[in-house]
Amino acid sequence: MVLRKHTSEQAKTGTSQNQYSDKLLENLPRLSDLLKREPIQVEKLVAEAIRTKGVRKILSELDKVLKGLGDVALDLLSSLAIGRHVLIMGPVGVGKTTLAETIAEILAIADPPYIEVACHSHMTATELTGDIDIAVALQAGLDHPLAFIPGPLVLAHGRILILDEINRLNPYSQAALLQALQEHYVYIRGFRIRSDFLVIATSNPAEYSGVYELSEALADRMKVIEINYPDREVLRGILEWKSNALLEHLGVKVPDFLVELTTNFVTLLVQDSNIEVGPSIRSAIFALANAMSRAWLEGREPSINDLKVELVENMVSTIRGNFSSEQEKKEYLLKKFDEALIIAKRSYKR
Amino acid sequence: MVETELPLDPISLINQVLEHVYEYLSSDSRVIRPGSIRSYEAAAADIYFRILLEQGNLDEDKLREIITRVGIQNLLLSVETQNPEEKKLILEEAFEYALNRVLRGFDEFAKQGHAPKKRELEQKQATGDRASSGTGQLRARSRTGSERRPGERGEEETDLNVLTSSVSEDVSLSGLRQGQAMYSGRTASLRTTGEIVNTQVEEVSMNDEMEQMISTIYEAFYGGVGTVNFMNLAQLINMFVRYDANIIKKVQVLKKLEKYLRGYGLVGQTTYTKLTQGDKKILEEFRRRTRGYSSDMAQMKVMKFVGSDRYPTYVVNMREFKFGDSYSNIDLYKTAINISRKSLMGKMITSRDIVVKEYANVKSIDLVLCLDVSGSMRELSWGMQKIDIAKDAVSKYVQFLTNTNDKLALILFNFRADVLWTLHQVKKYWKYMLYLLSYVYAGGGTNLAHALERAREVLSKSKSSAKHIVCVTDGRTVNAQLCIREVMRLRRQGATVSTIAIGENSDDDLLMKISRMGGGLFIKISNIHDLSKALIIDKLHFL
Ligand SMILES: Nc1ncnc2c1ncn2[C@@H]1O[C@H](COP(=O)(O)OP(=O)(O)OP(=O)(O)O)[C@@H](O)[C@H]1O
Ligand SMILES: [Mg+2]
Repeated sequence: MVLRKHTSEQAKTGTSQNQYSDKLLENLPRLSDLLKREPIQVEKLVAEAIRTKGVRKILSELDKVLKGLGDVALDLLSSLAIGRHVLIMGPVGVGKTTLAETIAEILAIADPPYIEVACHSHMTATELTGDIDIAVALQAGLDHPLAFIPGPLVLAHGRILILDEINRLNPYSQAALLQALQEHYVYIRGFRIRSDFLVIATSNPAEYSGVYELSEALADRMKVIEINYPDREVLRGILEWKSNALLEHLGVKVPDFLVELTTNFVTLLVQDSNIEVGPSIRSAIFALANAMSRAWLEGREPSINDLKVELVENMVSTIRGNFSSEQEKKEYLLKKFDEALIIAKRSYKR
Repeated sequence: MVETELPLDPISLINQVLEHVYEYLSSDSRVIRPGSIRSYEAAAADIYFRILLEQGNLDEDKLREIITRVGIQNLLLSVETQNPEEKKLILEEAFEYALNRVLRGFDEFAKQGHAPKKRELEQKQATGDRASSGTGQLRARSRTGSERRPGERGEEETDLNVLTSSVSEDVSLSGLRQGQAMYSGRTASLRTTGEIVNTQVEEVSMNDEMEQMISTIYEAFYGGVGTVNFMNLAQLINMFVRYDANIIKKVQVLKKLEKYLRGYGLVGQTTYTKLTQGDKKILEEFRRRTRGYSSDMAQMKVMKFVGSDRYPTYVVNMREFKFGDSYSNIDLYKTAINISRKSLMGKMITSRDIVVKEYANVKSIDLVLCLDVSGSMRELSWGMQKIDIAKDAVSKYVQFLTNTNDKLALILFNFRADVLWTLHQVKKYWKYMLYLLSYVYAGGGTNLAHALERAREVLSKSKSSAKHIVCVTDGRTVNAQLCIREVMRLRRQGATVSTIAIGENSDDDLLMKISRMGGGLFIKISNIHDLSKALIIDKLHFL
């Protein structure tokens, strides 16, 4: 919208394309500004935000996005308020990333309130810190807005830094992160840039998806919050709510029985000792929605078989356990589905 | 007595609980490390703040639950147990024990039969409490609490009520401040629980030192324009231990890092440890052959900048080398000539080429080897990476030195230099040396001056009268001027410096200058396969 407004202005006044891009450049930080940065006590900002918003308000806002995570959210808030970095750990798709983002958004200690990094194993330290573009620096000087491309560690100053899947961070990038955490400065080619931020990291429990272990010094700076699967009733609520939200624009609603059936299926898998890596709530939501939308496409009522196919297809890649082959896993899941069906039928008869 | 006791405030309650948790963990044999002070401080502040967030909806069970959960959240990554799977369980036990001690008094807890280590703890009580009587009022209070007769226990409940009512105030700014100060300010609150602080002092200073090291490393790492962000093995290891740590420690660290290195593709397939005996033979044969080929075409040039009378000793006799002879008795000058002549001809060196002088005294040298691990060492030479050949040569060198009393340190340098291991007697530690060596990889720039500076650091702790440095490099270094200055400093310390130049790209002028000023040898080899010979020639020249 801003863009369109500007072009009409441009047509009127006849400003050149160049000036337009200069305007955009003005919004970028210059190295000299970054070097002048003052320390920010981010934990104070968080505490202040909690105080002005009130705990209840925060929790009720969170409840609009995630259910059953109130206690976990308070654990998160309390450690941010004392300046302790957090690592949220839990199985796939239980809302780790969403929790981190939502809490950061609600606190809104800066604009934007958080910087998010999706960590991957080939990340270099400079991808985190940022770097000087020598070519630009030589032509336009070090202080040209494009001469320095700040990385997330620099951008996160005064904010929350969300490091998604931190277990994928290799030791080199871990070391760059560690340095920023302990010194509150980021070093780029000899320049020292102040950066204060609080980290919310997420990770799947290391034994199955951990590419890298956290270094001792880094681990010592983090507290671990574990998220587990929600209780059956809460889970049921989440499945119903989120799958219907996905289907809203199609004008269909998931039948109660299918929600019940999916809930049973997920619960059975969570409790199963043969399974090491449990089911994902996200997959369950999508399985429900997919089964519905397929039936909708074909202009018919959704069947139990639609759901069976979708659930097994969606889950087979996330679940890991005591299986000798993919085929065996698939058959196992099909068997579990039938069990879930029997239980659901029984409870519906009553 | 009852009247004189102050009501229990939440901060001191939390501190007492954590103190007992620490006590429990330190006396438990399943625990390797009871946790860092940072994590206890954070736990105290976090628990306090978390209780405030409850806004008064708190009974004893909830209180216990929060203290335990938030406490464990903060300690989990810092505490180390023998079996990682037991860690959470042990922590839960520790909190249960601590909470029972603080909230109920020890006697009742023991009666319930929950104390898994009752006898041990009672002993601790008897001896330890006397020792820690200086830790102030908090401690004194908890002790009177535990020694109280059963009839008086009702008073504990009042304490708890005071506690819950005092935290039921809304989240107030003063509360927030207090919580924050506890952690980030590291103020008095936790210090008063002297025991934790005292026993942890060492660890803290260790940590500080480590932090300092890491930051130094990084300052240099991102310091200059045009650096290549590539850490050498020594730099990586030294992020986790002191650079001058015992070599066994370094091996332990490397074992932990091993899988990361693998994940990064930095470890070649041919690490010595993983080879079977048969593989080794084949590899040896292959290497022998490639070395043989190269020797025909290779050239070795030895320049000497030191007189044979550098170490005046009384020569009793002269004869050919016999097995079992001490290397300190070898006539350097004659032997070097023999060996260099033979190696120029590409012939095997035999014991006959080594001339032994029988000296009146025997010496050992402190040797520092600076090995270039810059990116150019990744180039292939006769189908093998130069770095692998260099590693092979150094391992031969190490094996050669096992017959002496010499100490050897290895410094790796690319854009920066780091000590892979500091001075250790080769005879005793060669196995560790070979292990560390097998993981060395190459990449990055070349900075010889830094290597020399590090060598000086290492040698400053040497007590030996003979100190010698060998630099192996195949390229041009940054900071040539600084190299010269470092060599002068080294000379003043009484050390000698030799250089070995590999291949065509080396900065021979500089290296020769270094050797001349360093009073050592300059050895130019056109082929890296001759490195092991060059190293041994250098060694035989210096005692
Ligand atoms: N407690 C919950 N309440 C509501 N929705 C939830 C809950 N848990 C998970 N979801 C849903 O599941 C989806 C996946 O959540 P999210 O991406 O945050 O999970 P994650 O734990 O980060 O997963 P991953 O391990 O794959 O990164 C979210 O979009 C959300 O809609
Ligand atoms: Mg996620």
